[in-house]
Amino acid sequence: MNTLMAPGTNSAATPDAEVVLSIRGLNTYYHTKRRMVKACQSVNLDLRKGEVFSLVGESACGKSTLGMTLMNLLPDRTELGGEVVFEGRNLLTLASEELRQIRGKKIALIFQDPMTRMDPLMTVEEHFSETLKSHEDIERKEARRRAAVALDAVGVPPSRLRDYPHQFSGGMRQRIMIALALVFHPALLIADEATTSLDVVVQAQILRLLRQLKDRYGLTILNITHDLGVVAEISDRVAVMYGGRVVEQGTAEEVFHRAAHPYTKGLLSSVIHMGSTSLSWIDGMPPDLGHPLPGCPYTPRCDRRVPVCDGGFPDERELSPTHRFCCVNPSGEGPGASGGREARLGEGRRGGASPR
Amino acid sequence: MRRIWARLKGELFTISGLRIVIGLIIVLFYLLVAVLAPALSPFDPEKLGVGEMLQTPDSTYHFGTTYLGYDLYSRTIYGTRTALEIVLMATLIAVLIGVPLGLVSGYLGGWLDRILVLVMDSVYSFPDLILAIVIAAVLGSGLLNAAVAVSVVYIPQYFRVTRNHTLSVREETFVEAARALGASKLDIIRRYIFPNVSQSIPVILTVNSADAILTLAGLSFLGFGITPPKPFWGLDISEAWRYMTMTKDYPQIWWWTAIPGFAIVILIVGFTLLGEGLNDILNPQLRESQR
Amino acid sequence: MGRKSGSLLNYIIVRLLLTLPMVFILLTLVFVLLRVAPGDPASAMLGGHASVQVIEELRQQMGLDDPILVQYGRYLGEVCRGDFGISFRFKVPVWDLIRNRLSATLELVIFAFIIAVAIGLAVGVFSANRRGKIWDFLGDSYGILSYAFPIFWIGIMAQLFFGVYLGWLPTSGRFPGVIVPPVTHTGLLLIDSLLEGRLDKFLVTLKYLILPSLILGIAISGVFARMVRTNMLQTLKADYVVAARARGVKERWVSLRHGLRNAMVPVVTMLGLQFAVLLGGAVLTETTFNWPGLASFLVQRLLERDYPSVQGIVTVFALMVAGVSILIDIINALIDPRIRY
Repeated sequence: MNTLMAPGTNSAATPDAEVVLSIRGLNTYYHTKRRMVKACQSVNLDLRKGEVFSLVGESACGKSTLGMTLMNLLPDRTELGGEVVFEGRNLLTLASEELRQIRGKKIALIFQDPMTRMDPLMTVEEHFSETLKSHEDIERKEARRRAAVALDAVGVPPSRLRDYPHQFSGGMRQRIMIALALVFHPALLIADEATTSLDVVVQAQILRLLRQLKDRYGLTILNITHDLGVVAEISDRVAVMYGGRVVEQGTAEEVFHRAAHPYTKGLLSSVIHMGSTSLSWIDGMPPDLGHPLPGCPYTPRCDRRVPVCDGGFPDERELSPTHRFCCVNPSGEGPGASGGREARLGEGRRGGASPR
Repeated sequence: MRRIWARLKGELFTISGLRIVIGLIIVLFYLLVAVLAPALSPFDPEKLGVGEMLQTPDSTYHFGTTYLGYDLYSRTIYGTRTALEIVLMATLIAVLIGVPLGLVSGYLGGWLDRILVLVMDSVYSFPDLILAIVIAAVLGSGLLNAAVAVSVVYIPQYFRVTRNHTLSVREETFVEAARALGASKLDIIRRYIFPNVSQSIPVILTVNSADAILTLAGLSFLGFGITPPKPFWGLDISEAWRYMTMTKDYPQIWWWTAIPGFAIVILIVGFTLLGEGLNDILNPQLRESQR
Repeated sequence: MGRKSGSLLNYIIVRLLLTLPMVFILLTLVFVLLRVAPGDPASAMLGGHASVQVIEELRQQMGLDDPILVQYGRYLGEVCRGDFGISFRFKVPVWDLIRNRLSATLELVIFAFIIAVAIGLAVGVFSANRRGKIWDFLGDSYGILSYAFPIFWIGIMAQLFFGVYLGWLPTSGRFPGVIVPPVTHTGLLLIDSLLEGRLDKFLVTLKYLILPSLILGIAISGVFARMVRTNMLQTLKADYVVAARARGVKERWVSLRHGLRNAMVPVVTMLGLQFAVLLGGAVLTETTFNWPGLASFLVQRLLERDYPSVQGIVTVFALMVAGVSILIDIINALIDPRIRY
């Protein structure tokens, strides 16, 4: 696991950079036979040009759903609310053909497992040509040329265009997926756990590649992950999700060094550092999004909970123009510990929080 | 069995539940007719000349009569008996041979398993009907012979399903535990493997029954297995057809072919719906999820 | 890093070798079955009134008194040489009888197969794309009903309706007696009449072929349609389908190229099994429509206890089934680049 690098060493986008995608009050509810799952609630985010924006959270916190919602790749019985504004239009209300034209061309998505995401019966070249021909009327030769250029840009030998997915290693496949995503130079790339299934070395290569491509093409990247190390390494801004809600967001420096929400603090302190002699974790289980609580979803696990927390979800508060969070009793203010439990290594579990 | 019942109750109002209900109603109806046949049919189905030749359906002869004066109504009713009797026998034979072989082959493995699999696969890949008519021809006519002919065709299916299920159950930890405790192979098969494996049998049973009726109809149509004057739908259709091609007396006697045919179709549909409904419920992973 | 795909030729050879045991078992099964048959072949052949001595002579000649293993070995040897013995009834080599009728069955079966695939694909893809709606239910019902209706019954009904009532199509036979059939090149009348350049003969052949093959094709298509639908529904949920949509690939391409093509892999395998069902159905169809093929011939030979003929025909069927199974494996390997040895 990477040690946490000092955040803020990335080429940060300026706070006044143009907004590429704006999410306001987004709700995504799945309707299953027995209940309604509120995967995302009242999400507000802005993505600015040229930045890497990371969305962090545990499994089943709604972050992957958010990525899929932006391009409306959700199954049929899903209720969407709010707006997602891209190039002046609300993506959630677009007709399917208009949406299709945006997908792959202006906004691209890469996924976690590249093996299952490629059709085993089609060559790499065929993947490219179907993508290219779905958006533009071009000849086979031209499609092949552009595919070769795209592969070259990600470090895959163009001579392998005629090979099948099962003939590549995991890292190569992910590069191919990236090439497929970027073949039209989209404005926004959504990376949904793109490095999670790769080993550490390959992960570093892919991250470096993404950073290069971002600089070269002026790309905006929405990086969805649960891996804080990855977040620290490449993010300009970070949002933390829990229970389907964004509980804190800010620049990477702000979130890592001045975390306000107890969950964020708990998350950060559970990362193991080189040379650490104690383990820290958060008690309890992630919430069931099918039966959401009326108040803050973190309440059952929070050390800093107060009676108000059960009442309703906290309003947003600002620590700085870029740093916002939703908590009534954040760390550094009122009573209570600062999230997380701790135990010394080799001593067994003793519980008892210690102020940090 | 309790598991099946519990799941059934939960799913009663879905499409799968509806299928089971309709299928069950049909099958039970036929069963009822078969059991009550003597009470329901006005005439002896095998008796010649109970009525005029080729009478159209009317109040006495509800389905009309055939060339030889048989009452079609009675024959159709008694046909359920023949059908269900033979299917029952055939299924019993197939299960009694196929399931134990599958259990043993799956559990013991080795060369026995390999040979059995080869034989079963070969039989399975051969056309059902052709195998059935050759066996029926060799054995001669008669209800039991027809049942044996039909059963041979289905033994490989029971064998395969049982064997596959046995292979997966064999690796479970509780079986390993039983082995460690010194249980004999026979005991393990009998007490641990069989109860688990047996839950895949009901589905195969119903689907096979549907197919068996079809095979039986084909057999009798071609003139094997069941011979006149035994009442069976396939036989009736065959006689009607022979008469028609000989005399070209078609339109007037449509009922002679149509009615037994419907009897066959409805029963097969009943079994199929029942089987598919059961399959949907007992094997939910194969069902398309309805989120 | 990358693996080279194995050779297709290797795969074919291995599959061929693996099919041999199966054929062997089927041949043995045929042999055993017919030895179990009651009645003595020799006396059946000579009719009821030959003297015991003559019967004995014939038995010796036919090798029926040799030990069973010797007979078995001889049988296998004969099969390898293509010698199926002499028919009891017709006193001519069985192979001659088979040869004449084999092409009739092949033509019927191939045509029916094409119809079945066409209907099956159409109904299957159609229902898969309209899941949950009325068309899906209709498609499903088609699947169940086309299976439940016995082939011979539908055949008779069709004969009554199209042949007698409407008078459009002939109800029996393969070719009218009054016209000279086309010169035999392939034995398949459709192709032969085209080769001869005679459109009229082609049309006549079609008139006779259409009803039986349609009936047989429909009977098989139901199961096929449902299988296509089920597999397509599965493939349409696959990760690569979502990924393709995420790249903005046109929906029609997603459904057909990704959905259908991947669904075809298990379906093609199933088609191989369906060939056996097709042969079984051919028995009923040929009998109903008086089609002069091998399958109806089998029925007659069985009813007349002409066991050498039966043995020969069943052997041919077994070889056909094995052959189709190898063909299916090869097609599968062609479609799916992952299958190689």
